[in-house]
Amino acid sequence: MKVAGFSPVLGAVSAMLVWAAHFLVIYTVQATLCVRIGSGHEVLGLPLIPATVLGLTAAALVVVVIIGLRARNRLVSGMSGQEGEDEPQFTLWMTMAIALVSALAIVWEAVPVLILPPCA
Amino acid sequence: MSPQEDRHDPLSPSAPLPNPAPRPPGELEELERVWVRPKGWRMLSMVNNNWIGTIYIGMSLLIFVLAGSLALLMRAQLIVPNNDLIGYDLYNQLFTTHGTMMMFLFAVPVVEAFAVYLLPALLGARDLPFPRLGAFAFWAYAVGSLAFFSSIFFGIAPDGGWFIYPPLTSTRYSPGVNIDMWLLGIGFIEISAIAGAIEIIVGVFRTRAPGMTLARMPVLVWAFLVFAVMIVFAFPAVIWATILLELERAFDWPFYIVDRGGDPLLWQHLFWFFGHPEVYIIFLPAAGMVSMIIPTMVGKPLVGYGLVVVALVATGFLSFGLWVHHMYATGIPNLSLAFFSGASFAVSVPTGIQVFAWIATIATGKMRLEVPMLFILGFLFIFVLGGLTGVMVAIVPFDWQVHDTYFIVAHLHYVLIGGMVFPVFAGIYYWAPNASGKKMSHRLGCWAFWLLFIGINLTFFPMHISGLIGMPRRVYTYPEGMGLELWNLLSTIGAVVAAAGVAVVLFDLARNFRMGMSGGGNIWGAGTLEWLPQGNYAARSIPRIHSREPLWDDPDLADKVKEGRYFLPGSLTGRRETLVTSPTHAIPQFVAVIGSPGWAHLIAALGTAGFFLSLTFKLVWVAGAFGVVGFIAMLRWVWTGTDVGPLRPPADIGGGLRLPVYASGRDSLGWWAMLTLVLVDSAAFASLIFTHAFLWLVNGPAGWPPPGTSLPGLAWPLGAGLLVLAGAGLIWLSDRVLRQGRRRAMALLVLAALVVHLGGLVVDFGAIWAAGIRPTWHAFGASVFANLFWQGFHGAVLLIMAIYLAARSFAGRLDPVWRASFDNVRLFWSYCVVQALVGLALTHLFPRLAGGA
Repeated sequence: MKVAGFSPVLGAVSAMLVWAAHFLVIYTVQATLCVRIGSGHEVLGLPLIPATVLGLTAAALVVVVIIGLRARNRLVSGMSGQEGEDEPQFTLWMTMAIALVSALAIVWEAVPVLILPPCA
Repeated sequence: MSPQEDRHDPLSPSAPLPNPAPRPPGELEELERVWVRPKGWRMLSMVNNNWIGTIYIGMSLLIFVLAGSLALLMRAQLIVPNNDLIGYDLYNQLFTTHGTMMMFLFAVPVVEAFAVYLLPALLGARDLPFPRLGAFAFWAYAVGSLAFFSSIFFGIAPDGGWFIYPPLTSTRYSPGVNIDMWLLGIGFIEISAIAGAIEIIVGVFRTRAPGMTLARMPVLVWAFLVFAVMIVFAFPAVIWATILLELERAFDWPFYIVDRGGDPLLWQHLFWFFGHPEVYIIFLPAAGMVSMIIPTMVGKPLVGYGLVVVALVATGFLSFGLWVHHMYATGIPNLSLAFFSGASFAVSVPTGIQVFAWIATIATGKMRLEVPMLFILGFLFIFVLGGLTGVMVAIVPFDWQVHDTYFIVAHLHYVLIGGMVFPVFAGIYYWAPNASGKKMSHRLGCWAFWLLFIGINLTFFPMHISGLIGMPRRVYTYPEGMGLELWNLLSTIGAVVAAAGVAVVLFDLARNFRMGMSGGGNIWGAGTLEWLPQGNYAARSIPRIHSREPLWDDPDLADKVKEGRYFLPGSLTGRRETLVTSPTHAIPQFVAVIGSPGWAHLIAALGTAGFFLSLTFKLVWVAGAFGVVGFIAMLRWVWTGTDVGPLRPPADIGGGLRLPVYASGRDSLGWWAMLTLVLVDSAAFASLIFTHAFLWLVNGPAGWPPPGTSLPGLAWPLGAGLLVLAGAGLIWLSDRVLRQGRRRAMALLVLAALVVHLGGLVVDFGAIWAAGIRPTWHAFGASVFANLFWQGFHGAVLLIMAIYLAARSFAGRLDPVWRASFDNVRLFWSYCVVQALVGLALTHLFPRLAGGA
């Protein structure tokens, strides 16, 4: 009899872990750069802080999209292709849905960098 | 799998029932004997979750009433301007004690109490995985919270607001014991909350009925799980903040004193990293209750089960990204605030998903307007209003306008009373028949609801207006002629009406609730397992589950369970047992022997409470005596009540399933509990790292370490690190030796590892001391010594664990099979090694790489 461990649960919430890491890093990077360097620096012609935050956001989104797509592919190639009460369908569906919420949250939190001055 | 093969799988829906009927004579009597509840004064030693849970709920309701009575006193003071009924000093204590008790001693414990009562029944388990731990958490809470409340009669209740901001709460501005009462009195109750959370997490993942996959868990179980995980990560932050403030107050370590490199904002970050998730810690289980009650009351499954689960999980995560929205007025850069504002908006999405799922479920069926449903409708109305003002204060400029005004008081009460108190009252009316076998009064319930609904709205809606007019929070009076009189008068009248509503609920409970374990059957016609016939042993046999509403899908399930046709219908070992299943698929793995009634956990709880409360009054010797008693009781509890070993060979639980009655390593319940404890520990350590980094940011590279302070040479931390690693190597070796059955050699290796590990810590301490760093001079030294303190505390725990392992070894209670204690210690030891190495890097490498050293 196959006994799955804890990893499906971790997989299901992995996109939220990416969100948490992204949130922590953009907040820390912005706060540290503002205190240590200030807002005037540029990298490749772009203002340092917005560019860094947007770069980190793009990286986080790529990871979240990969997590979501992998779960979707496994779900589609599996039995039902939709949310079910059996495993692994449910945790795969959860992985996908949580990836979507995470992506929205990541974008939502990063958008202000396009609008507000970085250190004011 | 073919239908023929399927029939041979005892978990398959098409397989015959696991056990035949009638059951052998004496089987039920034996089960009843094993699970009998102690009577008379020996009731104090009981651990049965249904009884402990019920008393736990009763105790938290008592705290609710006591804290509410303080609110009534405040409203009496504010009924007219320039009132002199209560002076400012007592008023400060009233609002602080009211807030603290409601948040720490009612809201979280009542939810844990519901979990203690309901969780095993919802999962089809016999009891929680660690019944004595649950009883310990209850007793520590009961004694501690009553002692905390009593402090107000002696004028020593805390008076710095429920979030105890320094510098107001520093020794300089609050020299009395009032603040210590909060720090020590609440601190150890937080530990009991964590104990409850560990129990919930292990219970959910490991004691579900066979076949109850994650997708078949009742939504309330999901909510309890998210709630418990949030406690694991949120509470350590406030415990750490509390430790720092107490170290500052008792020993003058300047974490929050600006003159010496500290910063009061550090407290706010740590406190709100706990404090905001706390709102959702309180709300999510209440939302879970709503998701249970509505489907029963409309007779239809919850619409969007999967989406609601995703919403619970997402809310649990996102709530950790909101803490700075309590700090909008502290001068943090606008972009930083915008990150948190964005997260504050994002979290409303999953909450909205739940609200729409409830409305859609109501729309799918025919709603019965029973008392629980009335409270749910009241919840929807009040909570949605609180949520809307929440969106308003998530907007930074608006928040600046209403910060620290009565608008915030109105908002937070709408959210907390709507989001938590109404669902809890709905839960009381819904599940009371589960414990007593009888519905509470419909008539009284309706009276209670309308009094509460009108009273709450009349109390708190006018506060929006008084807040917008400009009335600040936490003032003991206000002048005439500012337009505040009417709104305060209405609020006070409303508070009295709401109090009458609570009184009606209590009267109804006193008249109609009598604890009786026979159960009254499935009174509401619900679909979930807690409505199976229950005894002290929970359900007679543990069913296999094939859907989310098993009682709806199989109307005969209750009878078959009661006849003992499913798994584990008797006792295999003559002791209390529960079936352990795999974390995701819920496939039976083994039968675990769990705790039975005893005194050790009770004495340990009393000792722990006495220790912390005595420390509050600086009664060091009394505290020491309580500490020793509590420690000895804990040792006895652990020695006699845990890791009892393989009591018999594998046994048949039905359906041809032969399961072991013991497990060690990653399978054992203790290992899961230890893993969860390590997560708690690492969350506290993350707060320590944050403290160091935050103070570095505040002081700048040139001030970290401060001028005139030099770090020890790198050879010292290198040596200390090598010693810690050598200790880890010896533990690895002791594992190999134990596998060979050489118990005494194992014990000697563990003791040697202890000496080496502690040697590493001593080397580090000696080097720092020799370098001239002191904890009182500057926040840098305080932070370094906080790190040493934390590592030293873990060293002391390892000392106890190593001696305990050696004693078990010499007593013949460890061998290659009977080794769960060893595996648990090894897991904790591994964590301590990693923590010690990171701690060394933090003290010695970080200032060299990022500071001015």
